Order: sequence, then structure tokens, then C-alpha cells
Amino acid sequence: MSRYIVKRLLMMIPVILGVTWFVFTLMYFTPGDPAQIILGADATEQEIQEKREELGLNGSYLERFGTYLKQVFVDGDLGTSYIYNNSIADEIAARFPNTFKIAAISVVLAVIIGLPLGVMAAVNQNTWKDNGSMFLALFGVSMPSFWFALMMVIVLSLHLKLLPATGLDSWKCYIMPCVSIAIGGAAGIARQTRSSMLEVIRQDYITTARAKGQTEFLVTYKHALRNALIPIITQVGNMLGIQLGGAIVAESIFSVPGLGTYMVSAIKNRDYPVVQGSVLVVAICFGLVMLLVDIVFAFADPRIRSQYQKKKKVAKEA
Amino acid sequence: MKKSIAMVLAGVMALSMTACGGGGNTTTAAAGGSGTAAGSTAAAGGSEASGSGENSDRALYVEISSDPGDLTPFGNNGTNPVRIKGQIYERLYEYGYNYEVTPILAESWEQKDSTHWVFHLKEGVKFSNGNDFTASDMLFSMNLCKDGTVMSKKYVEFVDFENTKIIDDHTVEVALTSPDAFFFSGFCGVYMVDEESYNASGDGLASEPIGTGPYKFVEWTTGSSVKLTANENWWGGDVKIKDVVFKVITESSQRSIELETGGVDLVLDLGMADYDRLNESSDYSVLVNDTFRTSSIYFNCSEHSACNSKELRQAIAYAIDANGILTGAYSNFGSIAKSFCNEKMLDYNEAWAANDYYTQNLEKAKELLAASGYDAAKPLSIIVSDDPLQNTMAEIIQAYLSQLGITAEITSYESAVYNNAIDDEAGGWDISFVTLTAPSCQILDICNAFFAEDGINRSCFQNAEFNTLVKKAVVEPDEKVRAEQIDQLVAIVTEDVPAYMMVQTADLYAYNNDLVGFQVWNQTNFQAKDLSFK
Repeated sequence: MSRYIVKRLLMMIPVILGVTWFVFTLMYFTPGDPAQIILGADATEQEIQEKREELGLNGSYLERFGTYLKQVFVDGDLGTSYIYNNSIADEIAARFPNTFKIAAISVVLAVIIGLPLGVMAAVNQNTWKDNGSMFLALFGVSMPSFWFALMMVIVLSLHLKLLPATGLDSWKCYIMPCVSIAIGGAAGIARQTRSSMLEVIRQDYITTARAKGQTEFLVTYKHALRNALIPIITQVGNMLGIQLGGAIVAESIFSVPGLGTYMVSAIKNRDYPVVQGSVLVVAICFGLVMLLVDIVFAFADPRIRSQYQKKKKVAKEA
Repeated sequence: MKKSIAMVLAGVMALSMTACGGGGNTTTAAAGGSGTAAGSTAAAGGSEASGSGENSDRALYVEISSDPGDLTPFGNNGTNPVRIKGQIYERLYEYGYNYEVTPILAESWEQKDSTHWVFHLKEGVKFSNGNDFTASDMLFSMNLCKDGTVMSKKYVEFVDFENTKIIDDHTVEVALTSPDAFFFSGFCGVYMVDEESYNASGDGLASEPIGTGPYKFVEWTTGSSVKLTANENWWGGDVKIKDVVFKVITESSQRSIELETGGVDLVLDLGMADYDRLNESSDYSVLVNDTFRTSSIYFNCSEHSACNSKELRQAIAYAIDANGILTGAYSNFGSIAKSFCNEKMLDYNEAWAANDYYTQNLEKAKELLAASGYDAAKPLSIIVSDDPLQNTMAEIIQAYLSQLGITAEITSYESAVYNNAIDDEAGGWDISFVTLTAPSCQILDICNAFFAEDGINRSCFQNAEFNTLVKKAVVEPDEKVRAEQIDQLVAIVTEDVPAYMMVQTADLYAYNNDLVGFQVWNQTNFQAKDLSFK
């Protein structure tokens, strides 16, 4: 297993290099001049040229890409923001915990809501419970998260005065952003769980488990759900990975200083180093989450675990 | 299974616990003096602090629409950074309430001749770190401007540094390279900076701003808040509100909700949609403040556009009903422009409003259109940025032009490339949008910066008489003569319409009724030192 993890970590190196190249190239060819944006509409052509020189924007594509690669991978420096003139690494380090906390809580919440809902729908297929659950799931998937977030603010903050409308000053501040993200995710997980469970509950081993006199709860949650978990884990992993890239809508509405709003503002301002640095961090996070998902697969499914063990045995015998 | 559920619940609880820890990149002022203040601010703690304790202990929570990004004295001079820096740093004088000249660190000043000004500085002024403010700090600050950003360079654009001299510790004679109509209004942009602290800071006072202002910096959590506390060394004595917290609220609709839920006491960027709700409430006050900004359209006067024809530009101006723009785009906040110059500009002449400024007249528009020889088969191109206001205005103008039989196509550009698109005169655009204003609040500045051949001149306006007059007016020492020159300039741009001024915009502010003393300082700022709680 450890060899597999190391192998996967090594595989991330070309992925990260690829992402770095891709984002750099994309930003290079995106119209819009950071120097013009920094200096504003009143700047003269000469001032803009001086600023471009200062920012190192007048070099060729290869020169600039080479400089950036050296800066990031040799010097270990993500650079300085064109607009705010502060360290990007520091800014990401400050914002990432906020994004991570919201992402993690949202995912846990989505699982807590979505998983039982999906299981209930599957084991009660074509009943009102199934239809009700799937209606809720469809509603959750279709509902725009910004609308739901604003509705929560109006009801829970403005009218009932139960929760703060913005910021991250206390634990109460996390409730609305997390719920607004979790609802959509929970709906997706519920639908995925139902579909996976429906495939599993008709298998012979489930009938066998029932024949052996196991309780319905054990049959459903121990035998059926465990075998249906693989696609659900993938979905949860994807959700976590995406949310780590920043829940832009929730961060904007609830004024959360996270990675998503940082990136969006950098894209608008053509703050190339910030966009490149942030995407790099997000790519690494996504890679690690996917690795985590693969490891969880092994714990959830003995067949996958045994594959790793077999490989180990074969290697030993050889 | 119970164990698994328990584990999951334990996980949720653990995450919730970590969530309570706050977070964010927090820059805090160095220990000593500010330590106690930081504690008291933290204890106030958001909305729960509002309404509790004595007035002096209650922190003032102020909404700002974006992170200041940069608190160096001459870095980002956008609206939000200046709202914060304006409490920490002070200038020699400012255009304050009602835009009246207000002495601050300058006790007095006199203009010796057209190129020499003498400033007498207030004595006994100290920076928040205890250092004395002297004439050498003033000269140092001017030099910082000279070497700073595009905007800060303009503050001292015509200063002759070689001949500017310190007379004594509290007197400075500023020499100019030539007479400059914008010197006095521009020079008030210079914040006074402590030379010793600046040189010692290593980051241009970015992490710990030090000024002579009524408040001093405590803490900045990027993307979230900036905390200030009273400067005990302030020359003006004690302030009524000890702690001020600027809260970043990016979403427009959330600003009014934060006010209503007690999260903030003062909203500096109220959305138009929230005005009625707050105005109807007896708990809040709403202020509509006319600005110096005029929402306008640029015509592409270059040979690459059909708007090269003066008659076509005039026809379009006559086709547009500015009232429609005011109602449709600005919800009637503001007023229609009655001349080429915003009524609040310092060099505004009321006589200009007596003449008709393109009041909608379709008959006249049709006559001018016919005279222009415009081929209606070729549609006009209106370009807009991703600003929803511009999109709304473009659609309204599109409808007005259709009444003349002109088809207009709207193309939207991302804000980052919008200015580049306008700069490309051959890029196929005919009409674009701009909000015209000038830091000096003078129409002469607008003429010089936006329409003269040496200026930005995005409308590619060419008029030899105009260019000569602008150059003369900028260096004209005699105010009467300059006023006549400005009068002629306004007449030229009104006749030639390189731009059509539509709506003089307004800013909306809202605050708790228990907050006393709120007024707009300068154009969009406020002074926390003048506020108190009932």
C-alpha cells in the first residue's frame, strides 16, 4: 500500500507541471493588461510600458515561463501579487484554512444528509419514501446555491436574527455557508447512493444475508451499502476536491475570505502570479484528495485491498 | 454501525470546533500601545458588541465593499483603502465636509506668487509612535509621492523639488516648475508620513501604517476586517468612539442585512435596491449624496467610426432622453446633466445650465442624422464592460436609437479588457461608456485629462482650438482669465460632443439611528473622529 501511495505521489509531479504550464499559457494568451489594470484608466502609454517592464511582462513566452518555473520549483516561491504587492504564499496560507473548514464541514453534512436519504429511497423503491426522497434530491440539485444562500440569509439572519449574515467570527457563521454548499452535494450523493444501492440489493448475497436471519438494518447498511460505496466515495471525493478550490458563491455571499474569492478577484485583475499560485495549490489538493479516495476504496472494498496485498506478495516471491 | 455513526458525529464536532477558531491572514500592529486596544476590540466581537456598554467602549463597525489590499500611504488609492487610510494618515488640508477646504496639519498657507506656496505647519503634532511631525517629514512625504504610483505622482506633478525648501521646522516653501491650475487641489492628496518609521519599516509601512491621524492601526485580517483604535498621541484630543472595525462585505444585498442585524453600524456602499426598505424603517437613516461623477458616453471621433461626424454625434445626443437613463439605470438616484460639467465641480459655472444641453428632440435628431450622411444600413457598435449598469444603459440607448432608424449592436467586454477595447480606435466601436470625474474636481482637469491631445483622449477628439486653450488654461495664473478659457472649452465640447454627459450620479449611505454625526467627507469618505453613539 505504501508503495502505491509513493507511486501516486510521484505521478502527481507531471500532473502539477502540466497544470502549471496550462495555467501559465492560458493566462499568457488571455487578453487584458495587468499594468493597465494596476495603473488605472488615467495612466499614459509610457507609464504602462514602465510598469510592464517592472512586472517582467515584456519578456518572451519562454523567458517568462522559465522564470516562473524556477521561481516556483527551485526557489519555492509562489511570488508576489501584482495588485496587492504581498506574498501569495502567505495569502493562500491564510485563506486556505477557511476554505478547507467550509469544504470539509459541507462534505460531512452532505454525506450525513445524502447517504441515508439515498438508502431510504433504494430500499423503498417506488414508494412515497422513494419519490419523496428523489423529489428532495432533484430540488437540491436544481436549486441554485446562491438563491438558497440568500433565502437563508433573509429568513435566518434578517427576520429571525438567529445567525450572522457574514464573516467567520464564530461557529454560527459557518452554518449558512456550509448548508448552502451541502444541499447540492447531499442531493447528488442521495441520487448516487440510490442508484448504487439498487444495483446491490438485488444481488444473491443480499438474499443470502436475509436468509441467514440478519436484521434488515444490518443487511442494508453492512452488506448492501458497503458494496455500494465505491461510486459514492468517488462522488464525495470529487465534491471535496471541488470545494477545496473555493466555494466561490458561498464565499462571496457570506464574505468569507477564502481561496475562491481570491482567485476570482485575481482573474478579474489579471493578477497572473495569484491565479497561477492558487491553481497550483488547488491542483495539489485535488490530487491528494483523489489519492485519499483511492486509499479509502481499499478500506471499503476488500477486493481492492487484496489487489494491493497480492502485488506485494508477488513482489516478495519474485 | 453505531460506532461508525458516532465516529462521523465526532468528526463533525471536531470540524465545528476548528471552525470556531476564526482564521485569516492577520497582520497586527507591533506590541506597545496597541496591545490593550487589540484586546478591547476583540472583546467587542461583532454584532454582539453593538448596543452594549458605554459609548466610548462600543466599537464602530463600518462596511467596506472590498479588502483594502494595500495600506501603504501612497499605494492603492482606491475608495476603500482611502476610507481606512483617511483615519490613520492626515494631509496638510483637505476638501472636507461639503467639499470645503479644511486645514488639517497646515495651520495656514499663502501663495507668494504663481509658482511659490508657503505652508505653515501645526506645531505639537505627533505621529502615533510618538515621533514629532516636522517640515522634513513633509518634504519626505512629497518625495515619496514623486517616486510612487501614477496617482501619487500627480499630487506633486508640477513641484520643483530642487527649489522647494524648508524654512524652519514648521514652514516649507513649495516651488512649482510652472503655474498649475491643479496644484492646490492635487497637493492635498499627500499624506504626511513619518520619515523615520518609513525608513525603518522595510515594507513601506504596509504592515504597520503610522500616521498622525485620530486612529492608529491595530489589526488587518485580509479579506475580512481592519481594526483601528484611538491614537492617544493625536493632536485633536480624545475621540468619542475608541475602536473602529472595517468589515469587508462584498455582496451588495448583504450590506443592508448586516446593518439590520446589527453586524455593522454604517454602510458606505448601499445598493439602490435596498434604499426603500431602509428608508421606511425608523431605525436607520439613509443618505443620498450627489457625487462629482457623471455617467457619460464616449463617441469614437476617429476616422474609423461613423461617429467621426459631429452631426451624427449630435443626433445621437438629441435622440437620448437622459431622464430615461436616470430612471431605468439609476432608479432616479442622481440627476440629469444640464451641461457638459457636473454641477458639483469646483469650476462649474451656473450659466452653462441656462443653455439647452441636448434635451431629447427627435425632430432635431432626425434633421442632424440626415445632415450627417450616415448610412443607416451599417449598424452602430456600442461596447460595454461587464458592469450591469452599463448593460442597462446600452439597452436603453439602443431603444432610443431605433427611433431614429439606427440599429445598434451591443458587445460586452470583461472589465479587464474594456479599456483596451476603447483604446483601439480602429477596433470597430462607435459608442462606449465612461464615468467622468477628476480628483481635482475641476472640469478643466477633465478636459485636459480625457479630451486633450496629450491626455488619454479615448474618444480620439481632435480640435486644435480646444487643445491650445487647454494648454493655456492649465498654466493660467489669473483665475478670471482661466474661467473665461474654461467657458470656451465647455462651449467647444458641448458643440462637438466627443462625449455626452447623461447622469450626475449619487452615492447611498445608511447607518443606525443611534450613530450621530455622519456626513460625507470629501467625495466618498467619512471621519470616524466626528462620530459618536447616542
